[in-house]
Amino acid sequence: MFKGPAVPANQFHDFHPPISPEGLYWVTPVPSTGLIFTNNGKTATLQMANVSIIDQPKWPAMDAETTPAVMDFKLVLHATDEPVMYEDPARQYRFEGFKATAQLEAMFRVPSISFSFKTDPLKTSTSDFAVMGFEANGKYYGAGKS
Amino acid sequence: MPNVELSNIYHFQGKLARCNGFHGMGTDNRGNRLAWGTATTDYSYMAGEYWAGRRSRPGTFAHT
Repeated sequence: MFKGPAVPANQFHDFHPPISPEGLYWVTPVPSTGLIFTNNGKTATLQMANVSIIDQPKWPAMDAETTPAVMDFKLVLHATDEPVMYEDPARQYRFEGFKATAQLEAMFRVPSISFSFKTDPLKTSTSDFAVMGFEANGKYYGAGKS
Repeated sequence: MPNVELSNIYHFQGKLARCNGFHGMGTDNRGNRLAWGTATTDYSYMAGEYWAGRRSRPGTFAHT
């Protein structure tokens, strides 16, 4: 989030999940109702409310101060018909899927400083890159297509 | 971020999506219009099976 042009010097909020007690980094469990696909599987909606995050404006600085925050968000992805595959046998991962479009709306709250921010509606957002598909990595990489 | 590992979880197989480079505008609680998003503003989901603690586990996770 920026005051003025979207460059690092103007960033005054940076919201993301903290390192979890289990040690997972930037990964949030999704409840069973949080991820919904259309019947044809080409549209996915990821929607969650009251997700605990941190506000860390100076990330990735090692001493970046963190403040507890909360977010609600809705992410909608639509797969196109353009296939894509990323594979690296040395790193043991394979992704097969389709290029996609993605749009996001969200609300962020930082109670300790009485700050909140609401994005404009979903349809007004854009993303430069999106893909949807299937991944197999690590011990599953050699087991064939997922 | 094409042609890189997209999953935040290693030893995983299942549905995955990843997107980044969001751009948008919004309004704070003081009425200020602010830009949000950078090239590294990325979201993902991973829904399937992963391996942890010497056994496979079902799970759905997001990166936000």
